[in-house]
Amino acid sequence: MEVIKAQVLVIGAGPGGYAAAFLAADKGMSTVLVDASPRMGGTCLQVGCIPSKAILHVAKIINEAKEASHFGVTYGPPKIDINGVRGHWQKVVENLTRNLAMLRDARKIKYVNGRGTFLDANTLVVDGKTQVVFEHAVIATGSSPAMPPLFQIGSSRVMDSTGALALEDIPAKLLIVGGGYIGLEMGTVYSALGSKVAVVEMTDGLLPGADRDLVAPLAKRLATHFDKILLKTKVTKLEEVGKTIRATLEAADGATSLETYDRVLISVGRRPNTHNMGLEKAGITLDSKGFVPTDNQRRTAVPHIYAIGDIAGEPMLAHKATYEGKVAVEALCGEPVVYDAKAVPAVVFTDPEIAWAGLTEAEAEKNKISYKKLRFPWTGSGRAMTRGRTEGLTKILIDPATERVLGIGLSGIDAGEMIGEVMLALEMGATARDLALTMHAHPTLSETIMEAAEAAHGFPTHALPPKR
Amino acid sequence: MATEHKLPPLKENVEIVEVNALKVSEGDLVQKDQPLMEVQADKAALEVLSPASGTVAKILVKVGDQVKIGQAYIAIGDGDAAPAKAPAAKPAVAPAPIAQAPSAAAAPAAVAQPAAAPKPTPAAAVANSTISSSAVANSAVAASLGPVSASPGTRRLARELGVELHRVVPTAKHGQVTEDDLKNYVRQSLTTAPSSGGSGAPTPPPLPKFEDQGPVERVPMTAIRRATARQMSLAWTQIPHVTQNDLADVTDLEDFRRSQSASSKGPKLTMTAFALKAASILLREFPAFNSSIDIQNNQIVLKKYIHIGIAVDTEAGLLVPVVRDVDKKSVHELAAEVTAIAERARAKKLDGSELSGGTFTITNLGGIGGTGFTPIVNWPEVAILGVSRGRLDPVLKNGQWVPRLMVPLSLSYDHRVIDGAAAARFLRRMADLLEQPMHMLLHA
Repeated sequence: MEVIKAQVLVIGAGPGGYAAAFLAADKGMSTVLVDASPRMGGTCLQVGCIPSKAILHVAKIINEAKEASHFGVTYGPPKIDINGVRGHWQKVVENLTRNLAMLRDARKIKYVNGRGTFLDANTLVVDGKTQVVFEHAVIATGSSPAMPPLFQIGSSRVMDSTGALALEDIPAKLLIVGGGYIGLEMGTVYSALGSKVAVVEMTDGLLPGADRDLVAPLAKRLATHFDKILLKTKVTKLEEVGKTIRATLEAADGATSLETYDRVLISVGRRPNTHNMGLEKAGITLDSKGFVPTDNQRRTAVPHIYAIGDIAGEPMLAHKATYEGKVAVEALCGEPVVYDAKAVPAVVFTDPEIAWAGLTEAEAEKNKISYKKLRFPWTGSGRAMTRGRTEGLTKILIDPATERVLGIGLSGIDAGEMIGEVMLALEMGATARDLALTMHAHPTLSETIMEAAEAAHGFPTHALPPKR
Repeated sequence: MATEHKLPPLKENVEIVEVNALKVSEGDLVQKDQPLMEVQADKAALEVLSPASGTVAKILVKVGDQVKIGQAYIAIGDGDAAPAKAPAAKPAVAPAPIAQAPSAAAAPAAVAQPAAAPKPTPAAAVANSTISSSAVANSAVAASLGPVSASPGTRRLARELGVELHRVVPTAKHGQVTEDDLKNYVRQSLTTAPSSGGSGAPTPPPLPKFEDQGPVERVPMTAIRRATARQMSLAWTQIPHVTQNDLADVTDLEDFRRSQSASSKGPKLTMTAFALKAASILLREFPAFNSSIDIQNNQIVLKKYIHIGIAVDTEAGLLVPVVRDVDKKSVHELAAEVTAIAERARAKKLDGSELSGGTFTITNLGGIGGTGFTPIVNWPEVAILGVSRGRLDPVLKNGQWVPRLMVPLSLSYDHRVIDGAAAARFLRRMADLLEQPMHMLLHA
């Protein structure tokens, strides 16, 4: 068996793992990166964020071409070559993963393709062929789509997010189980490509966790684009019948109904990849949800082993993993760092998009945190009007005493691109006045943040001040 | 609508206080400037006055809590039922800017130096991870106090400099700690503690795991305990201590004291009051004992006033209230004042000004016992007198063994300013004055 020595071993080449490995190598440590895929990038690049955004872009073009008729330009119905659509995201992924491999090799990071299993707290065996003896390890093995046994009926028509991205065909009728961000993003794609989409969500609203007023503009638009949105509804059974799937739906009142679909997407969450890799042999025990417990430097119970990203806890987001990867490597170098981010931005790339960071109203109410809400509806935004999309909303939550920004929610087209300013405001401890007194380019959607902030003192330009 | 109020700065250099007592309850109607609670700031008990009139909607702290300056402690609602006036109803008048601490912007470029923290070479760093574990511990403390508002760059710099951000007093609006605040804090720490290079004593080595030996309980240090620990570490590390011992024959003084106490209508005369009087006389005779050392400027600061601290044992811990202008007061006045101030100390009623400004300290353990001890000089003072319990000893007088009441005196002093011979003379004179109290009259 080949034996490799590493000062730093990183397991998982996703956005957390590769950021950690690159930094470790840049700091002069001999670094080994292990991943089950021959390609770099993990879920995010290969079957997650990047492919889904590539085809969401296609969906956006289809929808905008259709809506251009409102502006005096009418296109004929689109001709869709599913291979071309799939080819678009595959090309993007190919480019990105190749670039990452180049950056990796230029840093002289040893890449071992295969599944790693811990032998003990200092040894990892990859596919039974290679042994990595390490001083420090950063575990970044990510997560996988959850597939409850109920839905495991052995049919390729029941897909997870990876299957949905494969775009084998455009199902005439698509059932999406789970109204979270993955389900709604993929629903947006398939609906634009021509599928009749039905979404079934167990709770009483789409995107549980996001504030309701932010979800409202999206829910309203999806109601016209999707065939059905069934809330407080459960799928209790799936059966393959010929070339279709028959689903048993159970409404809140217990009434059941049968519906037939060409395909079903299961998007009910993700589970950390922490099993079958010998973590217990390294001395690491998991919590009840399968996450690896860590301290604020992402150090596990075994002091020279760190865990970052999806396996270290919610939210399972690439940017959180990257941040943690850097913290972990700096920490193992003895630098006095901790994970002290004030907020983790969340973006849902539907149409309209929803983005938020920091305190939400739901959290504030739950934890009895007092706040003042500043709102600016996009009906007052010139930029939103020029694009024919005024359904959006910008909302700022501030501390009533200090006016410091506690959280911001955005709902509307391009909301995801606006969250950067929000994050800087939160990290810098900006006040509503800071935002109001920062000149924002006209005409842009970012002005809505300034205008919402102006409401703190009652004088937004493009909305009427609150009644006195 | 209730508004949460944050604890305003109460005392210089105090960032955390402990709640001694709450003076209002939820639902109470309060007037602006009415006392809401009493807090312990270092060794001083302070009242927190209501910032507004209205109904107490919620008290966010409880007795014993450690509360940070800037932390919300109470929510006060509008007193009457009238609808809340929108704060925007009239043009907001910006409060006048609070005079800012020494212009942060004018920080000399040299301050940037500490930022160049030693960069561990990976190999060495890998071997040594103690820094990072203390970083973890530090922020565990921070977590219990709530987050400090500071930009990410400032937070990282603070960790690199090993500064707990809660210790940095923000000068900017809304309690935001800026990079300049941090650098000023570091600069001040460097000038006040040149030897240790930090804000306090050097970091102690890690403790053994006491739990392995048997059950333990961890209790938080009270504000007074923390202040005592800080002051004692400072004094012990800064001052080269020597203790001089002597015995004073107080038989005659004690007879006089008893007869006076029995006959006079005035306050009860105490040994401490006489010791105070004697010390005030000696501090004039030996000015070096009434000084401080200014090592930075190679100067000895001789004080022309005589303020003497009296160590008082209270339930909450050691307090040292100061009796001012001792040389201008009679023994009667001193006795009355010591009794009053000790009572106020035990009732936690002292304010900061009564606990500072001393030039010399007396600590009398005579009421408890002991044959002598080594008091620690109360920096920046240079000497402290310890008094132990008097006992009857046979003393040879005119060829006869007679029983005399002897009190052990222990004088600790700062050997940088005071030499042994001077200390021996000072203490002998002290014993002389107590032996022949009539001599005190000559100085009164």
